Amino acid sequence: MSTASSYRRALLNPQFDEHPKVLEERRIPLSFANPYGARLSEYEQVLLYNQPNPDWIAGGLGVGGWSLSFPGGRGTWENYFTEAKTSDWYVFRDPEGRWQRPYVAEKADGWREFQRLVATAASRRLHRSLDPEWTSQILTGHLGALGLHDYGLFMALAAPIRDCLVDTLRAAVVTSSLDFLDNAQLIQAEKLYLAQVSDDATADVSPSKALWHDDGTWRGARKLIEEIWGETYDHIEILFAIHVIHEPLFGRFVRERFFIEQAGLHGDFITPRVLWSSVRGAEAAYGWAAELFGKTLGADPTFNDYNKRLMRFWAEKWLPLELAALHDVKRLWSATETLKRSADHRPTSDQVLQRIIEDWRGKYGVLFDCDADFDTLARI
Amino acid sequence: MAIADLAKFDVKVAAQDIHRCLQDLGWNFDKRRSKYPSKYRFNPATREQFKLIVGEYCQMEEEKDERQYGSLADSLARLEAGKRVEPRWAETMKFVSNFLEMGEYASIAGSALLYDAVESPEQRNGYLAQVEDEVRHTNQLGYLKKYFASQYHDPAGFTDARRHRTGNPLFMSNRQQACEAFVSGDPVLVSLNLQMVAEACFTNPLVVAMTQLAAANGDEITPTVFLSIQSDELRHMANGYQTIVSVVDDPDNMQYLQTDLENAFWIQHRGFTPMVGRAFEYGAVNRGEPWAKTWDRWVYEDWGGIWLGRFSRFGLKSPRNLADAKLDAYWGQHDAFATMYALWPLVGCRIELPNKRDQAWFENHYPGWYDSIGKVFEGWDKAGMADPANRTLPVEWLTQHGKHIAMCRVCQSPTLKLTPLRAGAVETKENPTGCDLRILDYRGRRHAFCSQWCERMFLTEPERYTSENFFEIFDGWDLADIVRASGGLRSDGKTLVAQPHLSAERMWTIDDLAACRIRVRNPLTAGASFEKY
Repeated sequence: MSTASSYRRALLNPQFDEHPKVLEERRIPLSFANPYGARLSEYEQVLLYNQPNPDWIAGGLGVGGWSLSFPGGRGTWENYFTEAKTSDWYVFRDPEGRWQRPYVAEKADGWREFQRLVATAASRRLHRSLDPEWTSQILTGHLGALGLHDYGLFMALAAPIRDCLVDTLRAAVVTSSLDFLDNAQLIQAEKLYLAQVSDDATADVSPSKALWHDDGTWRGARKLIEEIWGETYDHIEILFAIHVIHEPLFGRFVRERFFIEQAGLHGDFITPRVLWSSVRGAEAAYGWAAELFGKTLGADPTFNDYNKRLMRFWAEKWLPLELAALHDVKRLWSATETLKRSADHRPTSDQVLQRIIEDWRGKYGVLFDCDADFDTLARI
Repeated sequence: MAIADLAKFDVKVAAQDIHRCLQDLGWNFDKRRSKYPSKYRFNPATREQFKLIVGEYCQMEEEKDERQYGSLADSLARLEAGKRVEPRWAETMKFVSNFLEMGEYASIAGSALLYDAVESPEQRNGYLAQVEDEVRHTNQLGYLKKYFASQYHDPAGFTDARRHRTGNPLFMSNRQQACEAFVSGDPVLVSLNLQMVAEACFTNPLVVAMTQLAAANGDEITPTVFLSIQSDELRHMANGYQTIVSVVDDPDNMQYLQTDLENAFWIQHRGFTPMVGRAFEYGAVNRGEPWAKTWDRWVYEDWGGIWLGRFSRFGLKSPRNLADAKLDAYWGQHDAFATMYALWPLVGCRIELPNKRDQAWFENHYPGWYDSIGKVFEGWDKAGMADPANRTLPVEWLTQHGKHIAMCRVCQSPTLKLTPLRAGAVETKENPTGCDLRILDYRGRRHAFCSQWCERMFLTEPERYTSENFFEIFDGWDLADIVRASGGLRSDGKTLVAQPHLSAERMWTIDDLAACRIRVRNPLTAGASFEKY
């Protein structure tokens, strides 16, 4: 008798040269699922309905309950994990349809691009144009503080990855979490590069950590992140605080309008390229956050009004913290002599911020009919 | 310019240099506490072994993805690999791929729970890589099912599996062991379940040994996917090792660790051992060595001896229940197959009873097989249970012979026992199966347990095991109604996805099943698991 160890393996298995009669014509992996586009995408086929919810979690296919709880009785996945409500969690999609393969390929390319960047920059001695003060104060110190900020956001997303109630959202949050850790690591990578080419730079984390913990510039941001990471248990509220409030305001203000935009003023051609992946990550997150808060929750046929009220309630909590963080970080706009000298020739930090807030109202505020008065909130 | 200056600009930013800074990225603050509390205290200085940063990790995975998806989409597609698989094996893969996909999916959440819980930034980094690995594996399993569905002559069961598993009583045990135990509980217990036992112990036979068997049965798809998955598992085993390292320095932690290891091992064993053994021995046409031997080598010797031997310096010992598990690895898969065959309308794939050649193999490797469970299979065959014209189901035989299936409240395993009893065990009126069944009354409900090990877990923390099991949820339901409700019908709207044979002829329809008039009962209150009405 042949066994696996004695059986002569034939790759083409000639016994099956003639194929058996087809018993079922329907070959679509999820015949019951509603596709996001014209037909079920590969992303949906390899991900959707993996979350094994019972039917009392909206959209769940199963019956009964979970077999296991945490000590004390907290359930495996429960509706009470969030105040948000929907008729069907499974309508959520990342509009970019990023499953593991395309996501990892994009990140791998980002890492290769970074290697090409530093090799080219070093070969062409681009660091010669670097403003020493920008290098020693901003890049060695404050850029690293931004890395710690991103590390905190990475940590704050652990609970949403654990707790969220649908597979497609879980996968989207994982990409965001990896993006933030990657941002922190790429910032550290830039510091390692700078330390090799400039006597004004150090790769040491401690100057950045000192700023992050003790400097007023980052006080508000740190308070906000610690509030999300340590104190906030509603996983949808965490996603709201990060991807509807904080990143679109603070992230844009600091990453794009300060580090990326002001770097050129200081002869820095590297930082904008390094931070670009974080901007790309924020844009990808905008896509799925708008889908989650604008459609899955904000346009739910039953709970849309409730969810919008909930989001406005959340915004009342988070916007004052956000504005305090923005207020504190404005100090960066006068952190170098070059910035002070050129202040008359460029928009003030308040003008920049005003533009960002206007953009925010158009892209994010509309998701939940936000009518927040930022001037009043700033005074709270 | 001096040569030294030139050299200065030959810069390298190595991933390892970035990783060396990781420990400094974390910080603590007054309000910092994990959202998943632990009775253990973690050492914040714990290191990780693989030291990957995100970019480097993604580069490595991209390469593995290109090889695996490239093979599947090109050479294996042109060779029509999905059409050359032994049908018995392909049907088994419907169950196995669904089981494993569930486990991989839950591990995304479990690994995130762990990175929230621990204090060391390096450890968090290792767990985060595992989070993305588990997304990868979930997608790979989804792709494997989609791939089989696109080529194999009977895609039903590879398709829509995430729906009709909801009516599958065997899925309940799968969900408990490879899903809920990975996401709910003390983080160290989660790590023990996921990394220390499931990944370090059971993925070796499931994911590695199975590839040889798959290839022997004409399946070149599964090895391509499974070996790519397994290439990530080593890092997960290392994560499990580091979890232990992060708690052993604190003497207070050690009072819990041995018991938690035993509990995790038992839960994982009850899920894996019978299921994998059933797949190996009843799903293969061309078999390898007996499952009992495979289990002995991978679980008893490699894991229980060598792997756990590494932890002896921390005071950790092999679980006491390893010996009981070893008995299960001899007979458990046969009872598991009997259970699966008895419940065939609900299991989401086509299965067949052992033929004469199979019977000879079983008796040769498991003396006593024929006189116990083999005769039952032969009886089911003679009664024509595979033929819808006879309109009879194996569960009727179980009820007639007082062999009731109960579900363990803790591990959710079915408790049917048709193989030889353990020495000294006897069949009684209360325990007609003669297995290690125990029954307790607690808060107005009756609870069955497969063993003293599950009973102990329940008695320690009864609030953790309060849900309804399959027989309670579906008490009073006709089997046909369960099939309808869980989408267990093919595209013609009448033929069942599951079948008790592999033939293209005489397939069961929902009308055939409904004509059997069998409904589910809660055996702990009704005295039988199924009744004809």
